[in-house]
Amino acid sequence: MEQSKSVANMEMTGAKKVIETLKQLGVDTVFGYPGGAILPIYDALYQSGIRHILTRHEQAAIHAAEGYAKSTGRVGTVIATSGPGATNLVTGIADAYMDSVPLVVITGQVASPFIGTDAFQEVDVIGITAPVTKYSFQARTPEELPSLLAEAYQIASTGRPGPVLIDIPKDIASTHCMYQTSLPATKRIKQAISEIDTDQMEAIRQTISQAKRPLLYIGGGIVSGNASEELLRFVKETGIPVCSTLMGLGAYPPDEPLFLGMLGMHGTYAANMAVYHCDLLLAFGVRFDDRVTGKLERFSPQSTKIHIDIDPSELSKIVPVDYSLVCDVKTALQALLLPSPTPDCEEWRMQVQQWAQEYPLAYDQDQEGALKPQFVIDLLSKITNGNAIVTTEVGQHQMWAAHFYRAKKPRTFLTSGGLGTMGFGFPAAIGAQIAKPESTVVCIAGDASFQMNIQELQTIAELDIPVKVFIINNRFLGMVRQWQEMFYENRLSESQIGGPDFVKVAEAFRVKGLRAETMADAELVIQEALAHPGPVVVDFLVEESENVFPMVPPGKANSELIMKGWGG
Amino acid sequence: MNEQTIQMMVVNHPATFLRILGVYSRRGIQIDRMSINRADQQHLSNVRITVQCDSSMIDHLSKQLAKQVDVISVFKCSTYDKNNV
Ligand SMILES: Cc1ncc(C[n+]2csc(CCOP(=O)(O)OP(=O)(O)O)c2C)c(N)n1
Ligand SMILES: [Mg+2]
Repeated sequence: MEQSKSVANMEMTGAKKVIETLKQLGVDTVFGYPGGAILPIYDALYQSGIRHILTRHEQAAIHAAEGYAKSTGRVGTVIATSGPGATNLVTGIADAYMDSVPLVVITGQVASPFIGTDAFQEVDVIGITAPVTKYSFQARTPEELPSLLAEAYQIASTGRPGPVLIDIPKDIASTHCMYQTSLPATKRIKQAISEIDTDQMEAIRQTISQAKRPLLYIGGGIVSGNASEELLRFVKETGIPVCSTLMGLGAYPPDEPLFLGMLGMHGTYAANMAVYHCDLLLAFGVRFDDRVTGKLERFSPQSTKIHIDIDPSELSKIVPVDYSLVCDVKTALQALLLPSPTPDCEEWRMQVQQWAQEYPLAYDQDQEGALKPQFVIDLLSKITNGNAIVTTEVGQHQMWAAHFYRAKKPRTFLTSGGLGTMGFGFPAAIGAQIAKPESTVVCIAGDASFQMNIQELQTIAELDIPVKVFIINNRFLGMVRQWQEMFYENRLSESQIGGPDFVKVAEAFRVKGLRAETMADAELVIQEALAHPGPVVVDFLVEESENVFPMVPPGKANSELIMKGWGG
Repeated sequence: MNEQTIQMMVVNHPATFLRILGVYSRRGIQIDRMSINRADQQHLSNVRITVQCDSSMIDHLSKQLAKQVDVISVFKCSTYDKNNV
């Protein structure tokens, strides 16, 4: 059967073959927006059985594909036309590159004879996106389309995941040719080496056993490497406290006693003190981002450092480490568990727990006073019990979401970490909801960020995608204002930003709109929004002057974090 | 700062050097000498690139280059060996 299939040949257009191949690769959903150069592909997509989600902007299509990919671990697929369609994708491609999100991006291109002539809607999308793609292809012949696609999906999803772009000239998509019906085998693709050197593993185990003040610093690699279970076992068996990056949230259960929360610029007191004072830092699936390390020269100054990551170019890139292992974290943890090292660190555990009790994340919500943004998110967390899928936009609300939404499971806290893209959260929620129709999906948005892709209200209305958008409306570019207050003498240059009546805007799109201004409203409205079967936008009018603390000011060490208010 | 040479075997197609040279330009490293020679096998080329930088930078560059899908192998040679071109 398999044999006869592989020799069978069929004539069809390149475009038809693209769609056939996508199906063979298991792609059932794509996000996109049509246009001239991609018309042959859209024609082949018509009634093909692949679900296409039509957004109202290509940027939203690619963030939706990211939401789809981040919430499932599967590759997200995006289709757009040449020229402006392709350039509208660039922010999303860069976002996916920074956060290691597996995507395949298919762009139309002008017909081959016109490439390089400044033809209508021609851009050199390969050139524009080279620095922010893991790889890219431009199809030169219709025959190679199936193998390019198969390779693209493989490259996007193996090793350190990332976005791969395929540019398809219009003539290549329109040409008829003979194709084999079977899926082509992929050529040599670089595989991450996951062979563990047993001597090195033994040395690492020894080092952990001897530590007095060990700390786990975990990140997005635990999520994309599906290593949460192994991590939990490792912590249970070793008793080592855990702190997480923004991208690692959800990878470790937040209610476990050894979890110290997020570290870094807006990390908790306990996590930042622990990273500063530890004598052994287990950096697993992380990349020592500047938002984490603060002043590099004073980052975790007393610790021996063990770095495990699948990407060899991350090892010793920022911080020189004592032991490094190129390996997916799951495999490394499995090896480390045989048997687990048992450091004697009872005193240290008491110390970090004391830090956590002395300075927990806190806010003052006055019964009668203005609604506090933290309270809204805390309440959402309690009402959903941390079991929703939450996406965030970028700004203060994102940090409060990281603090007060206690995501229970990996792939349920989706945020733009590396690029910090305002406009990510709402379309990402759409993609996550498409992937997980049974889940409650909430986008915690800022009033300004929501305005970056607000047009997607039409997408959720039309397709009845039951995403809940919670706007933390402070009438400010809050994070910008916070920096201006703290570091620019309170000169609020262009950070006060107006917004529409979000309830009316929602209603104009035939989406349910709700508003809350008090504590009592907030509770009722959250219940009502979550109970509503369709999409909802909630406008939470919150205290406008609230700022995010703790904060490690730029150029300071993690131990020099500011806990509360600032003179301004 | 020393003269540092990296030798690579790459899959050569029209966009290969867009990515390879991007690794250097992104770090602000100017290329002093470069040679590309087609290897026996189709599509494969031997590449030598010589720059001025310190050894930690060359380590970083060689890791970034090794990560590229089109790069098959990377060797660091600290001085330029004329006989080897
Ligand atoms: C596309 C983009 N433009 C600009 C910025 C810079 N920036 C970071 S946070 C922020 C303010 C966001 O305001 P809002 O969405 O209302 O969130 P808030 O901080 O008020 O919670 C800005 C402008 C960015 N991150 N992304
Ligand atoms: Mg705001």
